[in-house]
Amino acid sequence: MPRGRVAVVERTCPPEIAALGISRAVLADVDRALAAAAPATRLVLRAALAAMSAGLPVPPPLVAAVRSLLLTVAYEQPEAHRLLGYDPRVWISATAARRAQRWDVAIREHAEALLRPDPLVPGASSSPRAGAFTGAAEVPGEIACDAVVVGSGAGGSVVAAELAEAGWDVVVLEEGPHIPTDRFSPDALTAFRTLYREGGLTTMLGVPPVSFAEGRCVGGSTTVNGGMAWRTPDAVLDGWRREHGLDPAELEPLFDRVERRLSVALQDAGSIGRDQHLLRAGAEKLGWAVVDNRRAQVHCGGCNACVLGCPTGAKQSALVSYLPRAVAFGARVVSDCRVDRVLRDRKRATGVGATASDGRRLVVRAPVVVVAAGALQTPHLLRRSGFRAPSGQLGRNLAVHPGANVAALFDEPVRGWEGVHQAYQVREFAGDGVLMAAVNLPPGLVAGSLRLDRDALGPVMARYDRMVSAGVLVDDTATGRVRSVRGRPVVRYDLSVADARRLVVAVADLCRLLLAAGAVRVHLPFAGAAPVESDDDAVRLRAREIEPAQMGVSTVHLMGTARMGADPVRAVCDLGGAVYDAAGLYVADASLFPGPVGLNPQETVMALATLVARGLITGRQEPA
Amino acid sequence: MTTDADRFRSLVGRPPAELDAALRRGGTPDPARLADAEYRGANTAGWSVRLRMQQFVKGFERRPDGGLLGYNRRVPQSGLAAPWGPAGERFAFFDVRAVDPASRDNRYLNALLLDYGAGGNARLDPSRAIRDYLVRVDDGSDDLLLGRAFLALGPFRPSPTFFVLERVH
Repeated sequence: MPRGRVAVVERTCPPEIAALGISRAVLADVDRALAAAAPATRLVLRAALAAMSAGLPVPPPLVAAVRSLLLTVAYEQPEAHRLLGYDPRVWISATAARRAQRWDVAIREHAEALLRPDPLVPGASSSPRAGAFTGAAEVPGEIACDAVVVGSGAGGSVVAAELAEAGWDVVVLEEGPHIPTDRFSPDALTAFRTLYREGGLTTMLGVPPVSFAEGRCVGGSTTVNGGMAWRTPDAVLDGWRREHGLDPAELEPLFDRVERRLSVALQDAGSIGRDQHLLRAGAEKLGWAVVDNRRAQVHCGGCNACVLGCPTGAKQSALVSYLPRAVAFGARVVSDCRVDRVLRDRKRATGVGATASDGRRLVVRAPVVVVAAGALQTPHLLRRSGFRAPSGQLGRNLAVHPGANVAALFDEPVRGWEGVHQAYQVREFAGDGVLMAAVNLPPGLVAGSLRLDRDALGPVMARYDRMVSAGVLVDDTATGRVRSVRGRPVVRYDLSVADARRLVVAVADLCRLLLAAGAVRVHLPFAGAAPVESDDDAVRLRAREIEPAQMGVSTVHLMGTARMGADPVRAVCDLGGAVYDAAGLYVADASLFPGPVGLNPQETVMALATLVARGLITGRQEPA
Repeated sequence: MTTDADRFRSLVGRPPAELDAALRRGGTPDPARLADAEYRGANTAGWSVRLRMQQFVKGFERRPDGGLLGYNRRVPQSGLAAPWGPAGERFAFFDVRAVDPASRDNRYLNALLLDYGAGGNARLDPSRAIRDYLVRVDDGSDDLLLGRAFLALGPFRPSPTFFVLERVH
């Protein structure tokens, strides 16, 4: 067997991809991708690739990880795109131009409304004043302010905007870069490297290893998510009220406020692609409940680049909504600046210590510290700063909405990249905690996730333009845990047997739906499982026992690691987001969720962050 | 119907973990409503029975500067079920204030701190080492309170006992 890294690429890729002569380019991009990964990930994958290159034995899970990486990168090469007939740039440009022309007035009106005073607490509104987006290199080594917010995503951006409007001097620190809308690239590898934590190469320990993605840029995960904006379901809120004391009536006006700010609406006609229509048609044929998606968007044209950073600004990520509002009211948003520690005087938070991407140290002193770094980084930061919730629940109760994707092949052209990222959700099984949707993925991600050998993968990927990528997610019954190991958060999550079973059933049901829509074959996320080609196959799959270890599971929803509740013996934060047994320290992100929310969490995060901000504004007229 | 007296006795018999949870959950007493009140009190630790120190009276009064001061009074150790005998002289005075999160004595941020070190006790009076934390058992009511005593011994803070207070007047 030929040895060397190039030989590994050629052995891994389908023959038609290997024949393109792109192996060296693939390896160069793999090296770039690994450079963005966590040190441990980088070390392990490099060692595995080196061992495979030398013909040495490598454990199967590592072979699978290297294979997935190589295929992802290979199918994102321009030559591979040409082979597949995939050129999203043409579609994006045309869509952006159409949108700008047709909706210019509405776009301008929303931009103006975004900056108009609208006090959260009556009387607590200030006049707009100039804040700024700045890099860490441009700010002094020590800053004093009223409140420092760690993280600029769904939670941090909302708190920053609300406090700034109320006249607070706010500094937001964001670990990732500030990449404005006009600098987003439709090149997936570039986007992963620049917008995602560890280049998107993030996986939890456990069985199966759950891959996850979160944003690491100004705007956080809102910059790279699909922009779905759903209120917390009543049943979930009712459970949170019963178990944790959260009053749903408190959130109602806050949802209204968030939706106003984000222009939450259904998609315009004409922006919805064939993959979405097929999903809907399949559901309707089976008589299943399907709903139109509510999204944070201003006349989104459906260019389907949400996860690479919306290139038109239509998606109302924090980057183009709450953060500009915060800046307009005087907030300073500092990018490229990782917060290492919450500074404290015993149990009182006094600010944060941070490191800029150039290695310079920064200190921001503030009597109020709001941590909104996401459900993994937030508990890690609190713990390493010496804050220990008396409940012992910090870092526990991680819920992830485990999901599994299928690739359905149709005889008709689908061109799933032409049309909005996600227009519908199938809610037929919402009562069982199951959600279904079609979500077009770039070819690299599809190739990397399909559990097919190289000879089978080539023909499937050759029909990428006739493919519907769809997935299920379940609200989990298992919980994971975030620990801090050598200065980094380490996540352990094991899929429960019950959730694994629900995933199999949900995937089987999704196959039925796609077959009803006209799919000729559905490829599964289960190792060794033959594709589903008929209802009988789906019925057999439904009854089949599949071990969690055989499943390809992923998530983009991470929640619950600093849960809020009225009882300090069970929760980490109180119902205003204040960390129990600490002063001046608040959490305002999905860590606060008392449990899984069962659907896209962004609006829930934003409503809770508004709640936290409201408590701070009303509780202060002086922040100390 | 369960009376405060029943609950008082019930609390005294609870295990420390439950009492700690109750302390975490408790609301901060209102100093204004403690002023001029006396409470009958009982320590929960077994040693306090053996050393005949289980029962006591704790009282609060306003300082001239508007702050709150407190004191203890000895009572005959007649058992929790019996009527309490007459209380003795005031001793072991303490200052009452909100817990400062940035101070060394910051165990329960939701409590009032009874600081015997700032109570004006004599320099060699061992009671100066006591630091009590006090919370409400019931939301909005200062009739039944739960406390925990600590000893300030240099950097260490051992806790000899929890205690329960029931308002007498």
